[in-house]
Amino acid sequence: MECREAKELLHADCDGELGDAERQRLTGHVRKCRGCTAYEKMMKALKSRVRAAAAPVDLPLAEAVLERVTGVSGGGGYRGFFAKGFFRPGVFQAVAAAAVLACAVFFGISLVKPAPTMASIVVMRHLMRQEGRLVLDTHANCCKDLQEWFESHSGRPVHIPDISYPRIRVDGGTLYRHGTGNSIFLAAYSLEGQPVTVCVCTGPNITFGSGKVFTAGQRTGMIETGQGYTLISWRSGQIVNVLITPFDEAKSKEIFASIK
Amino acid sequence: MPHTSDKENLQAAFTALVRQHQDALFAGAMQFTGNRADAEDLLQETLMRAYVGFKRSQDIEKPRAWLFKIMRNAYINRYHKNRRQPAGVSYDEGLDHKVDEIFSRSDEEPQDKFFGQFLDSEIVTALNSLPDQFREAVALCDISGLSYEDISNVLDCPLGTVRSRISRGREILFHKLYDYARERGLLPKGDKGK
Repeated sequence: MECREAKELLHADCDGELGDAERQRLTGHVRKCRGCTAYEKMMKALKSRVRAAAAPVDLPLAEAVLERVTGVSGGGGYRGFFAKGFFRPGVFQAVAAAAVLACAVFFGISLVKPAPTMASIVVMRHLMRQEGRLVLDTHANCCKDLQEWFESHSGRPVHIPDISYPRIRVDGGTLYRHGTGNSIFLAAYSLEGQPVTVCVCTGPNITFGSGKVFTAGQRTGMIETGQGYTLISWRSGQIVNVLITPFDEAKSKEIFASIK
Repeated sequence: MPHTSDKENLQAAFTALVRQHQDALFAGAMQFTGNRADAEDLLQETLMRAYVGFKRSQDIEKPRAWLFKIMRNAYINRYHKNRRQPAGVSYDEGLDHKVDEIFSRSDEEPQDKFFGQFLDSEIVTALNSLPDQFREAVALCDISGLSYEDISNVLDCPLGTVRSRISRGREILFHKLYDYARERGLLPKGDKGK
């Protein structure tokens, strides 16, 4: 047996893919060949190293994706918006505008009414867009209060983004860039007479929410509704998480206080 | 439209099937795409396509190979334009010399010391830099743990081709790591590579 043939067989052998006859021939050669012995050790070590270096499997992520596809929830429920690891870094303002749109739609449907089906969300969203019903009135005072509170709390000025979106006017809000690179946009709005707080988070370390699968256009996401909150997650380059709650100044401050 | 309980049974069966392979699938998606964000998208697309197929028929002979084939097709469709062409890699010469050099040192298990000095990210970067045909074969074997027969199904090529791509891919990877170590002075003193 030539070394070239032996080397190819050595790979198959270390992968457990060699038959008895071939292995016997190979063993006979390797015993006598110092070069092939070293080669075998080197390639076995390489295989082990590659396996070890591969990205650690993120089972929760795979679970989350699986849930998204099948609609079967693991039943973890709302793990808490302030949970450690919820915030990680990101891109922001363009996402925020779209987020606010989605929030408004989903809030209008899912907080006020019983949990909708996915089809009804899509249809309702389409209809509301067509009818131009999504007009948000900014609760300017609420935003200003929050901004002032946060500036005094953090000791740093905050940026008020100028975000516009067809049929939606967003005059204010508070954008906070966390030290980890996460971005958080917090604003208060009134939607059809109901004041709500919208908190949009995006960044590289944000984990996907759970709940039910929804599809809007090309996007698939998760929506979870609970007592006093709606949490929506989808991907727009990075993961975007949106928490919508009835407006509560104390709660809003708690959100910022929790993201130190 | 399936009855609710039928649908639930279908979802449960699909979930059970995927859970057996989800770690390998995610690792495979990472390997195909090279980054976490795209891997998540690819994994999701794979499972969505698989679920559609699963609804049509649950009689799947080799589920792991089937899932990986769907993933590879999804990857090719999405990233087709960026697919690396098989490169004319000229690494035929010098491998024995490099191996000899590493083994000429008096250390015990010099191969483990050699590979142990790389960061995981350096190993993954080197693997990602292989031409597609080799990278896929090595990753499906070493990371995803597929048999040669399954890899043959996923890549649509004969067993002999799988065997040669794996051996060739590992050799190229070794060359790349060796050269990288040489350039950065990571080889221990006493090694005098070409």
